[in-house]
Amino acid sequence: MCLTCHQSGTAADTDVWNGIYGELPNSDNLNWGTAGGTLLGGGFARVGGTAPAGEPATSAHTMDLTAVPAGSVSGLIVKLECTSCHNIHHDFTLPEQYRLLRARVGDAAGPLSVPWNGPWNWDGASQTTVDFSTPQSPTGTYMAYTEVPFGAGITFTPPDVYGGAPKEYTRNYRNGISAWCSGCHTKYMERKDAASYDARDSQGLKIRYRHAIDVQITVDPAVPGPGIENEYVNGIFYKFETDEPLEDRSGDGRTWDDTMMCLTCHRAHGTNATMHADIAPLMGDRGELPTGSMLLRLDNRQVCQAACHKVI
Amino acid sequence: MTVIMAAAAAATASAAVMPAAHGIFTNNSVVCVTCHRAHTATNEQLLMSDLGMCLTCHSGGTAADTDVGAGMYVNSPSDANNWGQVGGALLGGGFTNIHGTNPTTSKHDMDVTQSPFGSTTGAMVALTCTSCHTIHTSFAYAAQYRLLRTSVGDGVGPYAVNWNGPWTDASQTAQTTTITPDINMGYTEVDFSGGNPDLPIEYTRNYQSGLSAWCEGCHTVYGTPEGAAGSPDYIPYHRHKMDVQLVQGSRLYGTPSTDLPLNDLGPLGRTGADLMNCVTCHRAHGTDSTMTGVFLSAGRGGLPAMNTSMLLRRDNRGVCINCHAYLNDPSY
Repeated sequence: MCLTCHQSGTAADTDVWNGIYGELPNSDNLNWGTAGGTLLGGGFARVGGTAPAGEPATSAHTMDLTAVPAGSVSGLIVKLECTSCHNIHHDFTLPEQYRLLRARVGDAAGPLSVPWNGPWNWDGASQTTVDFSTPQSPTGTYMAYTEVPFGAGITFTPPDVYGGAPKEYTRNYRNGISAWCSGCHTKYMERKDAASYDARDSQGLKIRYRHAIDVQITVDPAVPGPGIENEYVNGIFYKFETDEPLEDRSGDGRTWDDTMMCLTCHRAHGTNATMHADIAPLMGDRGELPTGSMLLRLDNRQVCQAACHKVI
Repeated sequence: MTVIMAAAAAATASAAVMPAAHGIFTNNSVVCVTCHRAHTATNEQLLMSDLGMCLTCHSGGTAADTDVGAGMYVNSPSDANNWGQVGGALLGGGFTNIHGTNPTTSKHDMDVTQSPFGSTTGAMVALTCTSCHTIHTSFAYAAQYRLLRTSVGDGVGPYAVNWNGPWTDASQTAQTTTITPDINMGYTEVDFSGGNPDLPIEYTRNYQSGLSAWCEGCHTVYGTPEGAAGSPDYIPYHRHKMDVQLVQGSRLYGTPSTDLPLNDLGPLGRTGADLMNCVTCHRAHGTDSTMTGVFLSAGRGGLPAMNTSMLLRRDNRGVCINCHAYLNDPSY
């Protein structure tokens, strides 16, 4: 039912099947993304549009598959559908709920609020930034549903893994996304388990450590010290600058206090990222966990190294 | 005993570049998953596993040149260079065996929580591979030897550990023996003896500086020759000097000489200006040396009993005699 409009249809701007924003004429008289732009969440079958423009999805949240979500300890079995995550009615009572996301999802015990900042009207000069140098066109675009590539001539601190100008992933993320995702992926918000838990990765009951979520990517540059660099290895400082999506809790653009979240690394619907053939063998026995692209935004593990940690 | 001493003849180091980063890491985000997991790691630093993770390749595996379990350089196809003598014993020895089959008699204990000998802080350490090594350090410290961490134990670091090598035979101007041509000496002992026990083993000259200070990150007091009464670091023990030139050890019976590993600051090859350091006497991983005779006596309180080999490179106190050969002189 949802895909009637949202899959190559003419009644919705967002084509979640092909991962592209269509900006239909007169659909709402607002630009909620760049026409023809890739949806932030990607697509279930393709990313970036139908052939030949887009690319096939290499992994996606699998629809209509009954499974226990990765990171779930309750054993909750979920059969994912559009309405597992979205609810068109919910928005009427919680107008700020981002993307019409359900207020309760998975094992969540209570309402999970996901407020957002946007949309933004970008005038081309308002980028308070730690990672982008000179914002350029497009201007006047409301950025909400799509990635927006900057124009040529943007300087990006190497390694520039994108082969050109960086992308703006909008500033409309504000907070709550990670907690919302953890409604199903319950363990992934915890940086370390208090007790052993079987992640179904063939290692059995183990205390688990996880990447920090909802943490600032850098520090206040006004505070004396290493500035916007973080100490990664003792005595060695790196800049954690990225153009991947962050939560802009202060609503002041891309600044030092932005926080990383689940969608910093993952797309919600599906990705076209590819994994080098060497990766799967390097991952060893993953048990029930996947070894593919796992909805990661970038090829290989560029979301770790090239896009953020930049350990060279 | 053959003595490797020579005039300080200038030597030309090989221009070959030893890997500054962990092997197969090509800065392309492919191999992060070899060690790290974002959501299911079982160790700090998001490491997917513990000690076993490193040993998957470095002990009996086929994906690494250095087998630290067997204490041997295996030169797998992963690296086109010979960073050691194939089949040779690792300079640091091994955790299970040395040179493939000789059982280890002592080693740096892994995954055992204890306070390092010579530590004045009492800091408890459960050693793992990553206590000493990190594949990332080298990305910023290209010259960091053996991918050693820049800060270790109680060390306030960063500790630079510099190296000279690898060397080829063209640079071996200070040897008394003929070496095997074109061997890049990095990870292994290189046996020039041809089976003659009177001929030496070359332990490579790639040590340059910094090792002793690095070890003292955990073994904090061993770098001080002796404590000075009244000073904050006073410890009522005397210790063998570290990071001193052989020529500074000259006494009535001449300058100590050795074929054990030394710091070659020059690099000039093996000269009297070379410095002894911790790994002159000790292996970093484990040793196969044995203790007999008087060394079978009682223990020493909290320290290892004298009958343990304490990672010493030679049987009994052969490391002492190896330098101070005059101790064997009956006229001494």
